[in-house]
Amino acid sequence: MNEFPPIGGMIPSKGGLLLEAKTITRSYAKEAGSMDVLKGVNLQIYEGEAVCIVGSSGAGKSTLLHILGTLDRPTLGKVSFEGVDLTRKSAAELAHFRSKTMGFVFQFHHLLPEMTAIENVLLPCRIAGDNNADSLKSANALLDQFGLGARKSHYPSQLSGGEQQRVAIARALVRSPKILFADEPTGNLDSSNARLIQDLFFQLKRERKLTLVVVTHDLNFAGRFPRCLELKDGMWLKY
Amino acid sequence: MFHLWILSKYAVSWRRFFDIPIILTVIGITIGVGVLVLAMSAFSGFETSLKNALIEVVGDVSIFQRGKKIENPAALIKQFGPAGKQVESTMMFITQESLIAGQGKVSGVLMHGVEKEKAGTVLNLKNHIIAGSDSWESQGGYPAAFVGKDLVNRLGLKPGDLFKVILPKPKKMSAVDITPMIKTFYLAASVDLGKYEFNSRFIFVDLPIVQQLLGTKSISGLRIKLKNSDEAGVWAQKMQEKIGWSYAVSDWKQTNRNYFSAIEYEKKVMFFIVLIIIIASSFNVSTTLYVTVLKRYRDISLMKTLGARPRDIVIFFCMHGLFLGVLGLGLGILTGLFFCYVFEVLQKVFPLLPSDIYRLSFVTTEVRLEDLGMISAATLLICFFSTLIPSIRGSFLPPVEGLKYE
Repeated sequence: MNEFPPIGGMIPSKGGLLLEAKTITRSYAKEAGSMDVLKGVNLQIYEGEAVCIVGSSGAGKSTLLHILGTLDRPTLGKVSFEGVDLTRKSAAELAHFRSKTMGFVFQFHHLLPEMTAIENVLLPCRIAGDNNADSLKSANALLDQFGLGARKSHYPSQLSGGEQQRVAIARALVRSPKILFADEPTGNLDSSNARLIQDLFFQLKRERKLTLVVVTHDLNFAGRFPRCLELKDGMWLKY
Repeated sequence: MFHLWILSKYAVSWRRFFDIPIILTVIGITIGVGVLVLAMSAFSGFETSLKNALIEVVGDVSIFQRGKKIENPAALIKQFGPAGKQVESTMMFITQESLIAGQGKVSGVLMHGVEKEKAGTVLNLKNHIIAGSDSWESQGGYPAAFVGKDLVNRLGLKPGDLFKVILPKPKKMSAVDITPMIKTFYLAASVDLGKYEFNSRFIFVDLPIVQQLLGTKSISGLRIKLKNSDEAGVWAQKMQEKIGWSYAVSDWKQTNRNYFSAIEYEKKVMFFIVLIIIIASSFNVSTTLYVTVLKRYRDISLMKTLGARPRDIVIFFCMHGLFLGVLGLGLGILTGLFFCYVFEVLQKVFPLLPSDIYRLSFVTTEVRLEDLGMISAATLLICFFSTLIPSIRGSFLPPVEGLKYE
């Protein structure tokens, strides 16, 4: 695995422990017994940190990201956020928690085709029942910041791949989450758009003091992170 | 309520939303509701037509004397209290079993002596004339009589024909002797009184003539027309309470209880039978929604990722199903109104009812709000239950799988 950038990297001294995963195991039932995708993974993420998770296909990167983001539950192990055990929370409690704490960006933008760019960005606010005037203000500000001021009333089908992904990032940030999870955010983009999105992530991290957890295949992107971890066969190659 | 917001966005992009299964589902509910509206409206229309036909013969409320004689109707009405304000007009009447003889035939009849000047208000006999004129004037010295159409047919009478009515008048001092009183009338008109029982036995003549024949000044009772016939039952009861048990008060519904309770019962049975169509179409709602849940798996996953609780997903898809229900219901009611129109038009070509039993050879349809309310409530309730399984299924879908692919 020499092609990957140096593994491990620096853990920032500033900022408290935000997210902690302890001995995370995730098994899937198969016809011939169960298959462990993650095998006792530990991880600590500190406030304001930018962490990159790399690894070959099937290494368990996305599964780990989903478990950290409470979209999936570990078979064994514990995930805690600011010391609170998340694995004990109900689905409804987790939904509420995600809505106010976490933002997600996926490889595919997953914008609802029936809604315009601004409506897609407003979706998390609507789900949370936020005040409309304030949400509209922050959604507008984000789209303006991302250079999409003139595209607010466009439907996803009328936007380019890069623009769609920027709308998806705006949607992830509209409720000012503490932590942003991104699963292959540039995987579906050409190199210039991918570069634009990468820059945007680091700009946002600086401006918003955002904690960033990114899963990527892109070595250039991974190389820009101060801390990069590699998964292989459900375990850290080096931690 | 983000559920409604997303749903409205779905529905606005109608080409994506209204795919073939959804259109077929809505059509299913539409047909069910349409047929139910027609069935209920036909029953209501039949009930109203029959009611109107009967009221015009027996009045809204009838008061019979039991112990006391009715000598002054106006004084009696004063005793009604507030119920008296509901009275539009009254008519004194007397009935007498008698025989009719004409064209060589004899038949038993119930002769009604009625105040002829009130016949147009309380009875509305004019509305029921099928042959002859509505004039009460004597002709050639013979008083006018209005006879039920079946009786007219049985005797083979034509308007203007003479016939005799024979009244058995018992002698006061003897239990066995009677003096038959015979009076000749001319047939002013043949009338259709709405019920075979009336048409084959009723004849109407002027009140003083019957009183004179019987040698009495008394009457059998009062027929009363109210301002609102539908409230007759309530007011009849109040009148009875006020005037006491020396009089018997009955309303039109009570008088024809067997008729109307049969219609009401049939209407209820018909409601549940036709409701089965809607229950059957609700399975379409269930299936379509199940497919929609799977098709919208990505959206469900996204909503959950963005903070929607499992309960929100249930609510969202229940609303989705209910939206189809409301759409089908709305279109169904419009279709039902159209069916009602077609039903009335078709009846002109193909008569539905045997007119020798009911006066109604034509069933009008009457769309009642209470019927529409029942249909709407039942349809929405059924649709709601049919959405539960797919909605709950949707709420259990793990968010991760739906976000893996585009």
